[in-house]
Amino acid sequence: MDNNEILAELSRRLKAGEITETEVLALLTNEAQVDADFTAEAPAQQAVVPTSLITRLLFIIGAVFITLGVIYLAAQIWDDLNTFSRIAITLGLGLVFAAVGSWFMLQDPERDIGSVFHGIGGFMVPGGALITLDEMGANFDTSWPITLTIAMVFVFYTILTWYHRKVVLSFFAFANGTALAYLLLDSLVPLAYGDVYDYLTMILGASYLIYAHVFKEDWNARLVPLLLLFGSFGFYGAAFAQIFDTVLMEMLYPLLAFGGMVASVMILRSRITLTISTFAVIAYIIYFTAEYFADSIGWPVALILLGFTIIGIGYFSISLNRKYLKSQT
Amino acid sequence: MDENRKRAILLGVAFLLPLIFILVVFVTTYVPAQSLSTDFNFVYATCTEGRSPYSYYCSNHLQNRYDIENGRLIEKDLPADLDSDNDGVPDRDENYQTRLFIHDTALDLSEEISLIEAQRFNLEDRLTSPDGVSVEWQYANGGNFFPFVRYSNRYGYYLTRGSAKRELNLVNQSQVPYYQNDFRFLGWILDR
Repeated sequence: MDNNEILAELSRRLKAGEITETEVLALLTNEAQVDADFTAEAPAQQAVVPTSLITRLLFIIGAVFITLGVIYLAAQIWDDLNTFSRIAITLGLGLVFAAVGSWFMLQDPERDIGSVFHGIGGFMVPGGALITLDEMGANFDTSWPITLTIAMVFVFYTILTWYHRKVVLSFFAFANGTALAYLLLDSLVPLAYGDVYDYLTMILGASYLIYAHVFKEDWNARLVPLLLLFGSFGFYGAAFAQIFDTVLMEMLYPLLAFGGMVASVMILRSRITLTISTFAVIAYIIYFTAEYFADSIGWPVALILLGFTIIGIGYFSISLNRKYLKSQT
Repeated sequence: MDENRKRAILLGVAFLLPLIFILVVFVTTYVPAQSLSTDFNFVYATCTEGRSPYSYYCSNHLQNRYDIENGRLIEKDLPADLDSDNDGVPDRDENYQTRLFIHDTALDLSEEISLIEAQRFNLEDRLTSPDGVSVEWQYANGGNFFPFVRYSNRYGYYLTRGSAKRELNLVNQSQVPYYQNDFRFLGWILDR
């Protein structure tokens, strides 16, 4: 008897009332239970536990509540705490959350619960480390103590990322690494002007875009939209801040903006960077018109021309998007 | 090229780019600053109104109080009716406290001296020393860069020559937020 014959026979018996739906369902449930029992003894990779979007959302909401609760509680009793308690409730608790997160990641790698604990710890550890620094009576005449502390936190999260290979840890490695870059510049060159920080932001933005390109198809893929967003926003934002002061940047900016549109389509294949580079082009055109044409042709005419130009660029960008990037981030 | 190698190179570039930039900025700032030196020491005065940290009218007081004439420091008497801050209290009766210091530029070290000791020096009151180094109040506005982090502003007194600058370790500078007007440069010491 083949499968079709079995199913036809089952259908006939159900119609005839020789067998009830409850009995069939009970049979299926027992089969599933047997499968589950078997799987529990098998290696972890066979235990595929679906994590729904709602579950993940609840994890995140829970993590936010816990973090806010800890901060609120600490603030309420802060003045009554001694040095040890202050460090324990911030850095200590953060490290405990990180340790629990790592434990869950090792014990139950298929669920996101480890990431949730690391998420809470990730927000508490850097702040806790700085509070520890303050409580230990560090000298803040220079930013070196803060720089070295954040450097340690960065190394901590880089090692955790390397070990666990989880996106939440990459996120905190990136966050602390970015803060470290600014702090390092501040410590090494205390009198650096804002321009230097603009250029550093541009370079960090470019680095983010390279990371996004490399991470596209590996375990860090969920971080890629964030890297693309902050990378392109930081790059174009910082470059735009410079065009008011630097002639070279005023000349380079349109090339960077149009180059960004091309790179978005050809290399990064990203709608996020295409959108931001399109806004960068529009921002430049508005700046250029205001700076060089508004006085000669007058604002009304300039606005009309601007409007048509912006519509044209928008249409061009949407065409690129439809043609090349329909299914991309 | 092997895909893994290409990936490793790109990761290396992404990681090193900011570091290289920071190092280049550091080297181009640090090297000129280290080579910045002068053969001359200088004398300066500080002032406080007894109200920390800012003494808004000290600048006027130091200006009214000290002068260089024929290379010698003189302390002037304040006119009885002088009231710089227009608060109804003559400057003579305000709680201005001034001190004089000699700054050793080689050691970057200040030492308090008396008026009599200061008056022994032959002073050149131009801001630029005979070998081309100036004493300047410098202000770095780190607050307008985009978009993530806002840094506090940095300010203080520096030895400068062109774009090279070296921070001066003046008395009180590390103890209170140093206000530009608390300080008056009096002159380079020409005696060797």
